[in-house]
Amino acid sequence: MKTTSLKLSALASALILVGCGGSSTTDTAVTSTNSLSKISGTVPGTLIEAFCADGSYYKVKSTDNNTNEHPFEIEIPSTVSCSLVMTTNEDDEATKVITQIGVITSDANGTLFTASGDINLGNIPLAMDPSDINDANGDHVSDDILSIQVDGTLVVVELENPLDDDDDGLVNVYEDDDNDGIHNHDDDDDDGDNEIDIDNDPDDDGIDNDEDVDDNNDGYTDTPLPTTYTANAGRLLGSQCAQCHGTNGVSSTEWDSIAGEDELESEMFEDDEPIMSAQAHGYTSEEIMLIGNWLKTLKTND
Amino acid sequence: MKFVGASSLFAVTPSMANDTTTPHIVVVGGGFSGATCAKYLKMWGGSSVNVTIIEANPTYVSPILSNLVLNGQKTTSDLSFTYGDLSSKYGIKMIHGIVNSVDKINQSLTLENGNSIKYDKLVLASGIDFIKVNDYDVTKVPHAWKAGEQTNLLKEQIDALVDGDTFTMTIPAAPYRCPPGPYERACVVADYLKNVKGFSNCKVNVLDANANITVEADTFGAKFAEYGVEYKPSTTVTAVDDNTRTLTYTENGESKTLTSTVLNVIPNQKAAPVVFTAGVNSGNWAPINPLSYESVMANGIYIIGDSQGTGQPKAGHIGNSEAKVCADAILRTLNGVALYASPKTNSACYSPTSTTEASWLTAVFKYDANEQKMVIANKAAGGSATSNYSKMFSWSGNLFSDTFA
Repeated sequence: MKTTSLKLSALASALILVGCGGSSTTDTAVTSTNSLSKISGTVPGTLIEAFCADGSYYKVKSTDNNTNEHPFEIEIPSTVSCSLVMTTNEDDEATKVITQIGVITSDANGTLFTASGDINLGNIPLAMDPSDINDANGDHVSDDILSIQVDGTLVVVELENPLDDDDDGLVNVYEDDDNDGIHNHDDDDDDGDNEIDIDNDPDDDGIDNDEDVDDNNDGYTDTPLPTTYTANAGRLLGSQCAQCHGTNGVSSTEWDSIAGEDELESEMFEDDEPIMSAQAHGYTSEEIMLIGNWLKTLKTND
Repeated sequence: MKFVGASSLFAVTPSMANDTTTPHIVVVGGGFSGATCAKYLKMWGGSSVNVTIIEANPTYVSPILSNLVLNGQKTTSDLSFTYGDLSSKYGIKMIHGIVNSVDKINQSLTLENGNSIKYDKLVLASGIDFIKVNDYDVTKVPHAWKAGEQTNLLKEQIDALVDGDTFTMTIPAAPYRCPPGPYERACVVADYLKNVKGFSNCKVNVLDANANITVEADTFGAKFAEYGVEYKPSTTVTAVDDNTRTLTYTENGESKTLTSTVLNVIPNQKAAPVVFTAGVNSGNWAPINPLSYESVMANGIYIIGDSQGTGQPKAGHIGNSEAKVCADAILRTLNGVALYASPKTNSACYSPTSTTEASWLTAVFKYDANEQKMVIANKAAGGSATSNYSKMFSWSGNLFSDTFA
């Protein structure tokens, strides 16, 4: 696959030039769908994120196969347009590199696209070292878009990008609005007024919470609240795991998510964290079974 | 006359009729226990309950990790949380105000601004209050035991120290908020002065009202020795002079004084004022039934977090834990379901001991039906190590989001 690098500003003007390129699309803004397209390829060890126009969010880590080309597959809705961002060294603040992915079809190029079928992006030569990218403000987000040529029969490039308010191709989440060297995703104060941001878009994806199907970019469509209470002992006991493993078992830190865990007892006792086994020894087998049965009903994050 | 007519018309509109059938749970206090309780009431009870939080401040500053503000590794804004997610995701109503009075007969609260609010169930989650030995200016002698301005004041005072100056802190008699916290602070400040500022002649004094280091004694004892912290157990503060920054205290029955460049007095503690206002205290704390956290002194009033009077520690993580038991118990009660008979709670804390190391402490609590109280099911501690330092943030990150997001 052919890849090219474009300056963000260059991409914006390229978009204008190809603006009449016939990429007419169906209106997909808020329709939820069960139909998914699989985007695959190979990368260095990488976190792949998809930000979609309805506010939904998907992520996957590439699989280490002991080569330099780790395969990945990420499923995104086939009728909602999405934008891909890839992060190498994602667990290391000092060396992480965040790259906005663009796509080039025969019709147009841009960073928001709708994939009506499965797409293989081939090997994506992501930078692994912050010194290898152009990054004027030092926020570890590349100032260049890495664009990939794709087959235009299954991919339609969208020219109106609700995830990109300044039309430079980079999604809002990874902009650095106040130019403080911390991109919006990690910055509690995007506008630099020294006050924690309070707005109706706390996940900074550009989709107002009223329209955002995933307000906090946790990868799940927000669950509607129940209309009645149903007692559940496993849920009550299991809620005590959330202080360390996240609400409903979905972690927001490096610690494991436990939603969907199907071998809870062995995981609890065999965990190499002594703080976990100390907790495990405070529970009876029956309690662990109740918690495990509840965790199995929860949606997983991967 | 017009107003009377209008309000009586209003009272029979269908929306009002609906509102009166949906139980209203009012949570006073939006810290770790109050925010968690409100969130889980709505997450589990959904539209079958209306939940309101009454909280004085629009932003909550976490005391957890706040000792890292003192050594510059965090700022209070890093540790600040707002209530946007609780409102937008869970439909919790936020009212920023202070409760002046509680009318238990009519199940109504009156706020400082004169507004009143009816409740069906009332949850008091307002933390602690201080018992000062005499009246003194806490801007001159900060406690920094409620995070925010106080934390930054203490940080400024520490940053003004020069080599050869003295930092003195006093540790309250147990029970107090966050058992390892004072020892953690002494380590963080001593490490900061010695290893970050490079001051080899600063002195750190710790006067402890307790007979021994109350938790993780080996870990903190070893760190005190490493940093040269002067530790005086069984000392009782009897007077604080904010102008001269002089303490009067008794040690072995003898009255002594100590003057220090920075004086950080953490006073003895009791339940929050609203617990006394509601008349649900017995002595300094609020006695509750651990199956529900309902007061043993008043039906329909629940006390969680630092104000409750069980033997469980007073800290953010277990406040979050108690809140879930309480939320579930309230929902069971409203739905005519028996209380869960054997709830579990847990406590965990990572404590920084330097700019690179942390220790941890954890416990599981179970209900003892014979004693009708929470007892330890298992506990463990891990000593100070660099490997614990990053885990501290994996822990706190999920605790913060489980509470506020």
